[in-house]
Amino acid sequence: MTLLAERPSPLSHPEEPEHGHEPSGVLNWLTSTDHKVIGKSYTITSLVFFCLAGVMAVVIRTQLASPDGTIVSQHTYNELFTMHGSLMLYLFAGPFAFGGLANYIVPLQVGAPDMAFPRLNALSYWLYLTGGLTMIAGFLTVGGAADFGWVAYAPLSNAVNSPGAGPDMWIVALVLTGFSAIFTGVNIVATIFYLRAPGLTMFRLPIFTWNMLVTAILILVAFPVLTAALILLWCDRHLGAHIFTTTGGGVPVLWQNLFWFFGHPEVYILALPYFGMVTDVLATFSRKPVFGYRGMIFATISIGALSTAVWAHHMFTTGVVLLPFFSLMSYLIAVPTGIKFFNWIGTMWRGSLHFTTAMLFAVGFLIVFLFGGVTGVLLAAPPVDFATHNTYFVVAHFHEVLFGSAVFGGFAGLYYWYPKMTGRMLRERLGQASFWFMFIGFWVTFLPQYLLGLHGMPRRIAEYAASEGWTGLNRVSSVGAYLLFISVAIMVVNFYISWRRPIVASGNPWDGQTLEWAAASPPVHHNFTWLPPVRSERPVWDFNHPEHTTQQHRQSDHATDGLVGVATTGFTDTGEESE
Amino acid sequence: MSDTSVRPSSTLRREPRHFRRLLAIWFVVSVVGDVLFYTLVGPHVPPGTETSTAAHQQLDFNVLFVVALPVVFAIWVYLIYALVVWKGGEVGETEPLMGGAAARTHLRIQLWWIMGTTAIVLGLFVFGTVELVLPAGAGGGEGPNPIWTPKSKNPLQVQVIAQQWKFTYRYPAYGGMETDQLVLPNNTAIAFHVTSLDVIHSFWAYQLGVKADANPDQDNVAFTTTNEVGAITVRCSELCGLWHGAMFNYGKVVPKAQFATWAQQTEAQLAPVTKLLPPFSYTYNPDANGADGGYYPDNVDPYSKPEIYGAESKKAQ
Repeated sequence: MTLLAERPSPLSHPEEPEHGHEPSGVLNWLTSTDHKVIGKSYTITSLVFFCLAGVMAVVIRTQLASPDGTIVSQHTYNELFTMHGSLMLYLFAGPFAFGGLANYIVPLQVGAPDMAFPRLNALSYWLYLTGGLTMIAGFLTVGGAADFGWVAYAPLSNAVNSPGAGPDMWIVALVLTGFSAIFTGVNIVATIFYLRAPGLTMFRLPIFTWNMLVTAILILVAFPVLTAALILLWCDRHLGAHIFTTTGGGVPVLWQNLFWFFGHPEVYILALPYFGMVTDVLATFSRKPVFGYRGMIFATISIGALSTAVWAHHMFTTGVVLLPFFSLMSYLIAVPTGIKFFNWIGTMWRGSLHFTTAMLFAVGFLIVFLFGGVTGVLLAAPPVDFATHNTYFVVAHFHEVLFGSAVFGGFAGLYYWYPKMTGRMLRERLGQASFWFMFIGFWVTFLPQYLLGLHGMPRRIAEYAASEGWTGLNRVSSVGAYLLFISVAIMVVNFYISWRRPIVASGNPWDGQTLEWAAASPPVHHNFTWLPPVRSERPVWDFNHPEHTTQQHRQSDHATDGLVGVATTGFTDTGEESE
Repeated sequence: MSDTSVRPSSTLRREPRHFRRLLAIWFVVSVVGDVLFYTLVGPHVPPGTETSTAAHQQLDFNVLFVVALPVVFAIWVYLIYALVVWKGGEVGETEPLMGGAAARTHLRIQLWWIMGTTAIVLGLFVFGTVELVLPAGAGGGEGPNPIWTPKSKNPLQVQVIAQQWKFTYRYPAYGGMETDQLVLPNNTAIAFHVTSLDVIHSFWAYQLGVKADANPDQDNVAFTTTNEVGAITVRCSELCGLWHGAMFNYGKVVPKAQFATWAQQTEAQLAPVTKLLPPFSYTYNPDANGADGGYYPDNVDPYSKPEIYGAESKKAQ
């Protein structure tokens, strides 16, 4: 372990250094390169897209609530589920994590004054906003928005089958947001590698920051593939390239390979940041260090590595992939995910659990994500996949993992860091009401969808006949969607109240463990006027609880058993045996 | 997992045996859950037993559920237990119950967990692969050159042609006739040859336990063996455009003799139409004149040999 000299504490210049005149209001938003301003812009923008996509989901569920639904036309329905998926995945779940919360929190967690490349960071946001607006603007074109699903399978997405400007705008939007994500990825990697505070070695980084590092690397692996594939698709549509069409010797399935080579790492790009948030939240509100810290990190790295070798499990029925290989890889990725689960529950083991809203969402994540993960293990068996592929069973599965991550995990992070980002507390009671509506609404929405899938309901169908016998389950599912809508509405009210009637948050309202809680809430312009000495992965805890410092425990372990003893005392001294 | 070495002895209180308690609760819940599932739900799990592949899929579902339920219960039981037993007071009021080495890592139990989960997933992988190979591809599309083929030397060949937005079926053994209803004989090995004329569709015969993507310019082969007489629902399970939701039709598995009668009658009935169809081929190109449902054998330019294809097809229109 690296030992560094104590640095003077507090730093010798407690006053804000002079940075010249800072604009305020809209001008600040437009011109700022401060990661906090950009992070907040990202967070708010992505939440607006989340709400828009949520409204689309409510319309979709209303259409399906009764057989032969006539709320929207077939064409509008196809646009709605395409844009619901695109907004949620490309514009909410990813950017909310790596553009919003990570942008705000990672520099704080590593004790840095800003991201490594502040102007690139600003460019990321503006590309993202432009891309998002471009995608939405597809609705204003004559032919409507893109309607070929968020996966845009060729040749359905070519100029013959999906003519018009809407699909083109969808492609351009994704190229823009793709570059935005790539730039953010570069920024996060550079920030974590080069801007860490003195004493903050790699194995003292908070788990959220570690997960963002792996996420950012995955972004750099996956997004260029999507961007390239989109450009090829555009060439097919406008230059007659015939890359993804059978005429002229193209191969439609090539699109699926390229798309899912992006798409499956993307699933983990959308999950890993939220795993990190949940880990930090669980540790803080269990008032314990993260259990199996290094195991957690190696599990994250393994998930990142394996996620690039499982893409064809989305293509089991195409007849062009080697099923056992991708089945094996898909199964193996359950092992590091299982390690994470074990470490999460290990972190809670005999802790002192505080059920704040953030903690409730984190535990909600564990429950929901587990079920989604286990049904994912089922789908890794090709015969089961044949029965369920492209049915509502899969829809329910990926909503459990993605909604579980991005919404339960994301809201855990949002409620956790909201005081840090705004200097205000959210109302706990409203937050808990929001959680319960969401938790119950979630199961009411998605459990029936598993059954619908098993009963043969394919996804992406605008209507069904009453004779199919799907009406009852669909109706229940739609009621669940309304509960989810209420939950989000309560949360918006909570934001509004905290804006109009602020309760001021202290710098460290949760008795947090990691460096962001050493800064003011919200942090001053360049974040820190003071840093605690960093001697473990929870420096703020060590500073605030000298009687319980992580370092002391380490020293006592070392004193009795030597380095190996860190592990061995653990299991020779179990609760069962010591009684 | 206590840390008595670290905690001051004055705060030591007798801890219940959490681990054993949890294990006992989990074991009871899991056994009850699995038994209830297997006996009450198991026999009704889709897609039923109409074919060999459907029956295998039903078995796979049941086995995987029986393995998965205890895993889910393990975490849920733990979480509920933790919520009840380890609930703390207000933030900042209480001190952590444990710190020290055991709070940070516990190598043996972590290794057990990793070995356990690895064994489970590898076991499931072996099971899934056996269940893929034994029923000759388990009803999934295997592409033009299937690796796993049924024992039966002479499966009934049925071609499934998908296009926006309908499925039609060609029976090469009956003069290449093309029907819009899927009729199959009972107790017979079937080889489906699935292809598409336009975008990607997916041929999903629900009760048969067969799903194979219909890719343009590709012959995607899937096998099954019918075991029971019954209904068939065929749906498209890949988004294929505006009327994707309306792309379904029905069929049936009938006794062999009834099938023979049906096939002969239909062949005779459709003879004038079949004559106008392009010759049977594993893949086709759609009629370049537009979406009129016409098609040509693959690798043949319809306009280069009008005397063979173009003229006849024009007549058919």
